[in-house]
Amino acid sequence: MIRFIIRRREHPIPYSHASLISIFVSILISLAILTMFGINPVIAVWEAFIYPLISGYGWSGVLRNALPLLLCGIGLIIAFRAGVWNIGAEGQMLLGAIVATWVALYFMPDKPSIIVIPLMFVLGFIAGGVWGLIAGILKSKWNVNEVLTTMMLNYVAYQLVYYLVMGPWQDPVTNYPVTKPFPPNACLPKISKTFPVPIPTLIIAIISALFVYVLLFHSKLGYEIRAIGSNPDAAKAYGISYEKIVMIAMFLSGGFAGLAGVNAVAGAIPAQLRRPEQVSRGYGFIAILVAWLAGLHPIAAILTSILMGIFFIAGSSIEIIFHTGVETTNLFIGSLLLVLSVAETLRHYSIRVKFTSSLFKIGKKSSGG
Amino acid sequence: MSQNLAVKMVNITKRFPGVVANDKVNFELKIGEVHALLGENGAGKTTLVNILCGLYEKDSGEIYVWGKKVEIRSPKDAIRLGIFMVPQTPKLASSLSVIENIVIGLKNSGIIMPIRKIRKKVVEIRKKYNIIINPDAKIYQLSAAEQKRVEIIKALIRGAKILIFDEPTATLSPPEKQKLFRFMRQFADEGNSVIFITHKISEALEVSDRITVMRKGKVIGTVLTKDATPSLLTRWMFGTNLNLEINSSKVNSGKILLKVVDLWVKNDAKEIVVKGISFDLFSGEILGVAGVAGNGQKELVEALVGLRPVARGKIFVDSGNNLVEITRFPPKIRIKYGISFIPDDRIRYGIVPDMSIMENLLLGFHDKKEFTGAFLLKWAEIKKWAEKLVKKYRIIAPNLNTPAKYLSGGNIQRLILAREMARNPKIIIAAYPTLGLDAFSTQYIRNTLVKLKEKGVGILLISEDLDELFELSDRIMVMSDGRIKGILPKEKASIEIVGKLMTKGDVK
Repeated sequence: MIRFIIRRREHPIPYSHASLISIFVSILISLAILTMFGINPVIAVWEAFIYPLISGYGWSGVLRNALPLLLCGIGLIIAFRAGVWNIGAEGQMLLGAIVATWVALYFMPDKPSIIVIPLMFVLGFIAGGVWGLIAGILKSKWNVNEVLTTMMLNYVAYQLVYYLVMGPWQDPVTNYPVTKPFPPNACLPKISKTFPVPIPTLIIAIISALFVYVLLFHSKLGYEIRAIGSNPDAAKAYGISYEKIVMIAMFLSGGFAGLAGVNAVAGAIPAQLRRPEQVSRGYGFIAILVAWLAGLHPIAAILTSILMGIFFIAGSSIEIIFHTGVETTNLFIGSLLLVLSVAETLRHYSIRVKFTSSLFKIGKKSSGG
Repeated sequence: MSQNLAVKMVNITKRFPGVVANDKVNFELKIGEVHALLGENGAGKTTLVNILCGLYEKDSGEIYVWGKKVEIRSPKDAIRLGIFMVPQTPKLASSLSVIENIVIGLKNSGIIMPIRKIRKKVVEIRKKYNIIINPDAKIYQLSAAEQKRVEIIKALIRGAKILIFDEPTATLSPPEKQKLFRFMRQFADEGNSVIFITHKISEALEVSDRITVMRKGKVIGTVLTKDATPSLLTRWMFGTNLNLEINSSKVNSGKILLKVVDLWVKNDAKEIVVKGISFDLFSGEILGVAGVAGNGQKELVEALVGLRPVARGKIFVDSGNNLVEITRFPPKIRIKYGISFIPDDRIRYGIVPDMSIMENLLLGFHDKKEFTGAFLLKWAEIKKWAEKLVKKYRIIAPNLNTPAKYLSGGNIQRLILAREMARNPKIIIAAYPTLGLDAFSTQYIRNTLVKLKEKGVGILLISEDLDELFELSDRIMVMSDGRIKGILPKEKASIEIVGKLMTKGDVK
């Protein structure tokens, strides 16, 4: 008889250990699957992870992916810490992108960069924030499930972008579903031609991560956010307003995603608004993974967003070199998501398999759980 | 090995991080006896029976059941040996019926549930043990006592030979308790065995054949009940002759602090459960609220502290020279008017378990000027203040950054008390403040409440422990079915009168 003995661990495995092990295991699984498609895993590791990173050219790609993931990720960390499950970073990002496009092309197309670029980020933050706030208000006033509302607002934002790029804002020259390219003063300056990482976004992302850390762990508001998220009943009983905190958390959460949206248009080459899936590119969803993998810690999110950026580059390297199609990045990220979900359970429970014949003969020796 | 032993546990040791919960414990349960396992909270009683039930794995030691050495690795193993636990809080599926709960998990029940067969058995059990229950009622419709009956029936139908009751009397009214004791007796007399876990000496003496006392993870001794005396058991339980007397003086000044007028409140299921309650709470008095749990006390408390909307009626508090209505105010404003809350469900309403001790002490103080600027919290100041409170209220923990969830029940309650007292409250709403605490924490909390009362604080004390209510209260208000059945000055109240009001609702 086979017996599975499942026990709750007296001390759960620390989150950081589980994250590191998950990353390692998920890479092994991905490589195993690639091997089944006839790809030599040693060459795959070299081409996907080692060569792009030691040669340097890969790092600009890593950062170009990591920055929007970090911005969306720290926003989600605020919402998740408040106990609000914001699944709508995609939509909030798109709203930031729409407003940035409006500033660049219609509101002040001929003002200098020093005015236009900060204004794009400020208004982009507000636009993303308002998109998040809609779900926040519905949740706090009428207890509408935020998972559904944020998700549905994603689709609204998708359609809004489609409407703009195929309708009033469509580039009359090309007739593709894109807007005109931004004027040069609204394009984010890059570090260099060969290392095209947008400087403002890089600075804003790092400062934002530090700011969110201070906000959550050293400010009154952050204290209230964590108290509401961790035990709303006690927090309410001692005078913290649930409604207020949910709304603020959703506004800030959407705001940071909005910043990523500004970068997605003004930092793109060429800078313009395109079809929504080419703007948000699933960052808003993958940022959920960035946030969880970081244990909802904004500083750790810097590392996890870079890791996810590496996965993007690893995936596209393999796609190009081995002609595997475009799903390799999703393979890496998908296996990580699965392994991380399993790890979350195994952190708390141990499972042992026993082969026994009858109750009275079970193991002579005893051991701790 | 002697033939009449049901269970023999030899040298059982179980360590938890930082504490030895069971230290070489020896325990014997005879066939046909009710064996009381006596000790204060944290003595290791529950750990011991959890090992017997397969919920914990022992670190070392041996267990013999029916004379055979066994390894109990999971509750399944225990059930196969006929060992069943009736848990302190029933573990039933609340939206299913009684009969469905009984059938769930029954062995060899196949795809079609053997409802009819089980129904017959339930009737047999009713005849035999006089356990009355409507098999088609849904669990959520049942009282705590009735749910306990369902747990017992479940165990009986599965062929229990050894029944373990973990603090079964906590939520029962006096007559229900008597019924339970009669059942234990009858069940044991039929050749089965009962382990009765309790921290009340009087209950152990009342129902058991033998008593084993545990203290700090060790067995202090086992004695035949007929040879046991309360003073011997007290000495064994606490190591000293504990003086549990409290000197409470009368200081009621006649000034009204809290006035409740015709209060009606709904529960979560939108049923009216507080039905027109009016009372005054005076400065310098403890007003005890007696009643079986589930008669509207929870909703009354939540309405008073602002966690539950009021359907009808008004609540006023003293604001220095006149009464201010606070019926619709949120908790934040009520705290400002001097209302402090010591909640019954400490983990849910009293602390944020994942946050540190320091952060938990800060709850409700976090927007005070001393502790926060416009944006940043002043952690240095907070730390100094928290250290003082931890020392003053003897909260025992590795350090201020320890998450509150790792504290023992007594320490959690001292943390809540420390925080609430630091507000300098005028009114304290204390719901079951000593429930489940060890004797010393209980004593500490009772003494603190009396001291505050002597300083002029008005205290509303909700408790099921009639001894506690009689010891502390100046007046006792009895609640039953959401109504006040009487407010008696302490001199005129007796356990009999209050007990009758609690259960029957009328006395004359």
